[in-house]
Amino acid sequence: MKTKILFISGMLLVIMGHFCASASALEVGGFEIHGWASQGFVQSTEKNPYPVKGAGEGSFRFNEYAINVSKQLTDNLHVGIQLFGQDRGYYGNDKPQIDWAYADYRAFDWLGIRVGKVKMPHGLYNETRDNDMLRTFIFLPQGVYNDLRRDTINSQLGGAIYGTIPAGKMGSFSYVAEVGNILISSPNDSGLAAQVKAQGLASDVSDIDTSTTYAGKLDWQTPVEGLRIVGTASLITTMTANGTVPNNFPVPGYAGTTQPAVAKDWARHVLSTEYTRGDLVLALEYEQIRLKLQPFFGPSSLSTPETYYVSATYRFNDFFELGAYYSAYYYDKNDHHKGNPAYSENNAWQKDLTLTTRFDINKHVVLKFEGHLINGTYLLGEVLPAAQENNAQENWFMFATKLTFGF
Amino acid sequence: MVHVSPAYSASYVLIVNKNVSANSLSRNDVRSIFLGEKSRWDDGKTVRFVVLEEGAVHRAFLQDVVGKTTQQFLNYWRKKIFNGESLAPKSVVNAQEAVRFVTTNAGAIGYVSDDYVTNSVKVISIE
Repeated sequence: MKTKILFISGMLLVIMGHFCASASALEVGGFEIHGWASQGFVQSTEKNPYPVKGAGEGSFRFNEYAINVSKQLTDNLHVGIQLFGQDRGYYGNDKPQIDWAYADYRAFDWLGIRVGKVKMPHGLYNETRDNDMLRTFIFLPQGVYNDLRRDTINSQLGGAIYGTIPAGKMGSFSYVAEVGNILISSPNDSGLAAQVKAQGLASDVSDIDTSTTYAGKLDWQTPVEGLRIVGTASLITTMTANGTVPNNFPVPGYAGTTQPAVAKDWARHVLSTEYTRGDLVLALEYEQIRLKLQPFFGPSSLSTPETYYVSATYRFNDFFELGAYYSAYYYDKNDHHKGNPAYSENNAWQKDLTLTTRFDINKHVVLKFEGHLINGTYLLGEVLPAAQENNAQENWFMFATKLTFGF
Repeated sequence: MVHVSPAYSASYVLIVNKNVSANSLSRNDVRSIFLGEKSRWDDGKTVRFVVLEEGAVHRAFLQDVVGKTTQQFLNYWRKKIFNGESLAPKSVVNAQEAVRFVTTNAGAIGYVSDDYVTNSVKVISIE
């Protein structure tokens, strides 16, 4: 059955791509419409089902879709909205949500303003992480671009200023500065809820509230041809997930009650560089994370992970591109062997060596194959209960393939 | 004013609408225009650029002036479209359409092989 679904989905996408090969967008009444849909398959080591539920046996619960509508109202003003949904088995469940929706007024090249639900900057690729056609890899390095945390760094309701400032022989600087509140419209289907459930703190999550969130980006196009250096930072002052405590919670008196799990002063800092020379693109990113965790039961703790990756991609021709990266993610930046005490000793880190092939069937259809050799279980431990993570293998693999149609 | 790209066996010229006062542009300015970073001429008028969808002239111009391959340029604009930063740039399938767009739109700029230049547009140089 699963094979039939994949085959039919694949054929449908290829046919759509064939018939749309000459069209770059749909236009209806002055509105520009774009979208994409992806269907993938993931197979991992049996005891390490990641990053999709059921990956140990092989899983098709790996898809995304989006559609956006935009209109240029004046030379300086445009508006748009994008709906997005995904399924990872652990979270998502294909529930559509408003990905972004804002008005963008560009007063000058050096100063524009966006108001509404605006995308948040984070590293080099956060604003485009969802669309498979825009990158070489199926999975971006999961340290900096942890898909489980997407909802906490994707977009926020508020405003932003942005612009580009030429700097003569120094190149140019682009910036974004924004403030708002993160809205998670389907809290029980979010990645954060999946983690809270895996930890046994809730059987379902009824809502997730955030207080003021700040985010910024400075992108320096250096005088060296093809070299950019980017710094991004964000701060969520408070994020609270309210959930129902499961019936098997070991401490009496809590089962069935609604309790909060709180993250305070959640700060992320990413320093990135990207170098492009012809068809070769090299990237290096380093991130530090810092947040205070206040579960409803037990002591508060300070979490200080760090992560980095280095990647290289090369496009051989219009049809074929090859990419590889090595990434590492550590639970504690001060002690790379210290992990969550409830989990296995391998939970202190996760290192990932990845190789990807990308095939552009045409401008609208992309097919990819990707293999991961992984050591450690840090990120795996975020979606599995401790007892299950303790049985996971330290050295494991994950294979993914994905077909995407976009216009 | 004709820019030759031996790597792509192609040559191209930069053309603008006749109401554009500039007679030359720096490479950085041209790059900024086609990446959507520079949206106004020095006199404040709106820049409207047009790109070819494919071909040797398209490849040569993007690589020589914009500093991107055709795939990188396509994905650059897709990123802007899918995060709401911009609508898609105006693109045409051949040089005649590019010349027509530049002729009929104030503040327009494009690139074509010099074989297709007519006296309805102005050719400017890249410094």
